[in-house]
Amino acid sequence: MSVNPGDFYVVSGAPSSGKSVLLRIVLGLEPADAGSVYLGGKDVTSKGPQERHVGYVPQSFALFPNKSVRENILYPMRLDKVGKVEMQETLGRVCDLLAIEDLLDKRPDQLSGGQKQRTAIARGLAKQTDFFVLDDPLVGLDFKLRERLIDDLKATRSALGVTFLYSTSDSLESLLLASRVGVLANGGISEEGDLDEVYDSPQAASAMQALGFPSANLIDGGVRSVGSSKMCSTVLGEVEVSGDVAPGPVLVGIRSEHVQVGMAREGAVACTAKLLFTEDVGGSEILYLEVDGVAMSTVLGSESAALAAIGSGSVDIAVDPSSFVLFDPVSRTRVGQGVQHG
Amino acid sequence: MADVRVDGISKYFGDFGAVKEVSTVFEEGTVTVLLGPSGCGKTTLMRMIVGLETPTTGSVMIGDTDVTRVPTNKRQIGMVFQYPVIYRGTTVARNLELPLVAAKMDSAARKKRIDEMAEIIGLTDVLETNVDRLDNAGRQKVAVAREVARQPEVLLFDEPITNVDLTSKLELKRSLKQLFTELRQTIIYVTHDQTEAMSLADKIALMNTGRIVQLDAPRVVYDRPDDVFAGWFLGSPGMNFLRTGFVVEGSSLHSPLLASPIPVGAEAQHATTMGIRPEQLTASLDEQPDHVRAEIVDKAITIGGRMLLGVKVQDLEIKAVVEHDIGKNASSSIWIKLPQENLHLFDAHDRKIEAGLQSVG
Repeated sequence: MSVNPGDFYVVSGAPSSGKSVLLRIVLGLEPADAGSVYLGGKDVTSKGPQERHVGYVPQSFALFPNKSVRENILYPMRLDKVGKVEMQETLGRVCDLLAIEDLLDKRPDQLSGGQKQRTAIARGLAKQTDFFVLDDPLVGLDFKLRERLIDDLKATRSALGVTFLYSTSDSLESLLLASRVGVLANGGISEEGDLDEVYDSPQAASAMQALGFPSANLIDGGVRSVGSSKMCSTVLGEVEVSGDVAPGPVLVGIRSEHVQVGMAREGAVACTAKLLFTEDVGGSEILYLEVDGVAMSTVLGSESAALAAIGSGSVDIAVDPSSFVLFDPVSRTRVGQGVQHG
Repeated sequence: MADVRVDGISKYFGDFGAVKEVSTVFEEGTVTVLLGPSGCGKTTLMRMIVGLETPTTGSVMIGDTDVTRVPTNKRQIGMVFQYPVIYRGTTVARNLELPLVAAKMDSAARKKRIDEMAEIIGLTDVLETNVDRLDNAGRQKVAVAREVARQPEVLLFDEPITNVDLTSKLELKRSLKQLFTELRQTIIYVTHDQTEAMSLADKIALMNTGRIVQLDAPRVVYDRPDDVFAGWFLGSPGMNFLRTGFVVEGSSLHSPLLASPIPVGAEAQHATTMGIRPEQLTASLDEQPDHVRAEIVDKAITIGGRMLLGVKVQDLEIKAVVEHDIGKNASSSIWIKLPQENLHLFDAHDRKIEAGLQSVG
């Protein structure tokens, strides 16, 4: 994987997929069994963490309970023997960014969860460097606090003009934060790229699933040759497909938002699904469906007219062939896509 | 079954008021979700209703009975906690049966009740399974079914989904929804999760700093927030608020965000804050009548592939949630409209002002 200057690079992967280990190897806190780490073009694989000059916000933020917020933030700079003037300047800057000026004289036990988290982030950012590693710093925080800190983190990265390498298992967090992503699956990066490219044309099934909220549908399909063309059948119906697809089983990825509700458009495959449950996530509604025993989901804006027309029990759905993304069932890499007619 | 009334109820810990002078009715046969951030007082309020906390002032009524001084075990309340409370080492069926035995129900009636409960909540296939072999979601279902089976007057749920792993959460939510719909019990459900509240509640009682700030159906709280906090707390992201950048002159509201002034009622002159939900403004790639041009300062992907944009008109920055293709294809600017019926005005105390905006739309 490669992180470029100015990236907000998010390593996205399921819990215990190896995100923390990867980040700790970059930091020099964990030795790599094989391979190398380059920082700014220099091989630092054999260098210790101190020599790498990387800022770090760990997942479990251990603040010194007997020290004030000010001393907690200053402590790493004292270790680095940073000059007094510079130390005060840096303190002022990070406190301003994270809006914790008023907390400087408080002790950690006087802070709320969110204030502690902001203090920990400030401490990590108070380092004279342009590269920071943040290991899932928002995990376990409540929803509204995360919303606020997501804004803060994006603004902070851009105000400082620095590079962030960030990990999370939360797909919405990845989508909201990342400029670039690396998807970690089975111990390796299954796909890497600019977020919008990976989102719009995923090359790995794991990337399509990890980057999507609600998570993309991944259903079984079967490809057969019909004359010179190839057809892929699924519980939704059969569509023509293109690409390097051999006859046989495939995995078909369909983004939730591409499962349309109501009348089918020309060329779409359509069927009736059982409606299991509707979840209102504030501004959008996620519909959990079942088609011939296969679980699927779709998502609609709360203002959508199609939503208002839904009764209980069942719902008519349709999917454009162009929304079908085909993956090899073993390698789980992209092998083709649906062909849209008309 | 009965309703629950609290009247002037408060709980002070020293000088700190966890719950302040709350008077409200939790209606019979209704699921009311007590929603709010940590520290808002929702758990304290619930504990006073159950009898685990003594109110500093005020009273609790269940139906026609004042239970303020009645011990918990005499209150006819069923409780489901964050962690499942069940009898370990025995079957699901036995777990459901024991409280019914204690209530001296005969064995035929017990069997009937247990089968009904299992059917509704989805435990039929595991009735003879030892509870130790169930996952957390399964055990929580047992805890729920056990409390429901003995038919208390009121059922209280304290964040029952919080400690269930992500993959089982949905299944448990679905079972609870099914149960709530079929039972029509009086239920008070505590959570900090807006999705749970929006999806499970008949009514949301939104709490902030010890008070209920709004009690309404979920979509009403969402679309017509009574105060700034309600607009902010619900939504992903919450409502945009402008403290500057608009002015009310006579019966018109002017703002750089509006292509032309919009008519407002007399009350609007007290407005100090204007609000709009990010997904309730309209956006277009091309110039449109009634739209203003906004500079794009940030882009991200959000729920359902829609794009969350940071947009700026003069020095006024707001968030806008737009369709994927519009957000993706917009480069440096976009045309936006703040529909009058989606605008909200609030006074200096952050309370909603009825300014006739919604009625016109």
